[in-house]
Amino acid sequence: MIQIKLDLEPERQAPYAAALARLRDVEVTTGRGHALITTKVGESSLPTLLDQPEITPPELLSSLAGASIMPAHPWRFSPSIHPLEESRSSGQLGEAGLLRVHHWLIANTAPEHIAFSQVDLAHWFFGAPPTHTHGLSRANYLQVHLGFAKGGMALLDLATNRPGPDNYYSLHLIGSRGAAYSDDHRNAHLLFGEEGPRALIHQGNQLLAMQTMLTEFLAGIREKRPWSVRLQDTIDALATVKEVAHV
Amino acid sequence: MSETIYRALVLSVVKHSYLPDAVAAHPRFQLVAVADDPDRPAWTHEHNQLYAEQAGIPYLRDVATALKDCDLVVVSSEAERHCELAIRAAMAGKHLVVDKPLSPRLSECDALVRAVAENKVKCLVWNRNLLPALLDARAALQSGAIGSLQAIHCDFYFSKDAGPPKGSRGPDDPPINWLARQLEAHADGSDGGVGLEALGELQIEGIYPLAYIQMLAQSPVTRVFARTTTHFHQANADHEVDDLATVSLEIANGCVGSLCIGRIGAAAHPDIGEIKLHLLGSKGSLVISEARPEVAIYARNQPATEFKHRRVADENNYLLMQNFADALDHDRDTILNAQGARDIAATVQAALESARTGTAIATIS
Repeated sequence: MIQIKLDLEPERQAPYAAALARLRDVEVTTGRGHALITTKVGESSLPTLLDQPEITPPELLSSLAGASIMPAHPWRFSPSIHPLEESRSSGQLGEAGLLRVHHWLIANTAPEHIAFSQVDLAHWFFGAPPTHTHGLSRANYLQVHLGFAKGGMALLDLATNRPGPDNYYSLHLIGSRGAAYSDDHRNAHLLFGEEGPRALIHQGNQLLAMQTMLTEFLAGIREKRPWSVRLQDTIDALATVKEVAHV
Repeated sequence: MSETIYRALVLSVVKHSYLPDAVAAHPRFQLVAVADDPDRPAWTHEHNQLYAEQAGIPYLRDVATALKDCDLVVVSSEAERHCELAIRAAMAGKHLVVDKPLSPRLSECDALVRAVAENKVKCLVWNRNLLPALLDARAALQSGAIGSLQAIHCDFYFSKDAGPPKGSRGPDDPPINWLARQLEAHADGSDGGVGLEALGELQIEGIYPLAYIQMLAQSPVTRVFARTTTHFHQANADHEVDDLATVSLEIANGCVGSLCIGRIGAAAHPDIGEIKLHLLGSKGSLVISEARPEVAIYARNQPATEFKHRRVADENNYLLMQNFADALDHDRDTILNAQGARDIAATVQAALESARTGTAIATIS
């Protein structure tokens, strides 16, 4: 039984607790525990899942090389992303050529904030940070255009503070032997109400992503192996976002 | 009062015949002949002769003579000849229907724009702007449903092969002959840019999505950043032309845009390919699938090459020719005229330059 301490603000603690409740041989503790989930770094030698690593200064992250820390990159574990990466990494899609993302949020947050996760996906799929970057910024809007070695490319369309009731996400990954599509448009249901038809988009990804991410965190601890996400991944994604968004 | 039937001369028909077929299908137009220059290669004459026989019209190996007996020309030649043939027709006072792309060279596009203006003829460059999904997008935008347009994105992929895959050429094999490969493509459906000059996907098909963006944004592209690569096809690799590209667009009215385009291989999509528009407005957003409306048909022993989702209610060809008839009848402009197609060619040229240099490039206005 692995005991995990949650050192988080209440609004962040709830989804982690809900996801941990779905897993075997793990429990939340208020004591020291065997592992820690927190947004603070450098305060524990326990195996740590660093929540929201993108808000930690990159210089501080760089100083933590060798520490037992898995940065939380939940998008890598999303139900709509995980199968694509499995297909890519197994070679089914061939060599990755193009990643396209449309990500629109109703939340009034900075587009650079949501860029972190999508840029990280691009780095992940292409195996390294880009060789070329280009950004287009407008109010509540950021377009990220990346070029990778061997001709790979990513074009990310990111908008925040959007009108309407739902977020929207669309991703496709085109490889030399095939392509993968993960798309809210394709998956939308239709509701016919008094004000006319509207799309219904399933929003169940977050908890499942967290559950899968925690499974990887716990497996790394049990198997005494490096986690699949490294602090360097966070540092690289932050560097690319900084370059394209000029922040 | 009976309406004028416009007499159309087909100037070279060396690739797919969708263009003269569309003209012939409209009741306001009548094909009168196919014509080409006498010094064209034998395969050109064979294609022209075959189409003329199928259409029941003569094939004339004398463009100047043929131009005397028509109201308009339909240019369906190799891309590198589009402008030259169109300019000759414009100077003879003939209206123009020209296949896409207008030309791989911007200077030729500029010359055509001048010829069209000086001779006061109408020009329609072929496009897909009147597909049902595009009409829906335009109507939604014009109704104010999403407010003023802020960003527009197009994903445009043809899931077609184009000969052997990249990496399949042996060390002693010669490079694939571009023209021979394109001529073969008629047989297996992997058609691309017919002609002597190798063209990438951005140059061949880029006019379609860029025309969508031009029509919906109602403002010219001023600056681009692009990446291109040869990811799929050996013929493209041998001739150093792209089959996959991404383009960021800055538009004069302050909108931003982007384009992803590629000939991504038949295995990459169950139908002709994912083609979508994403529009962001001040009051809402719009996601449009260019293929819809469509119907789905699945059956035992269905041929692997048969699309299971088929477009329906597609009146693009008829509506384009109706648009052209209206332009001739009422001295109006066409939905994609020579200037508009020229501006798209300028965007493509800037994108290729950007991809080559790794920097953002201003379009030439």
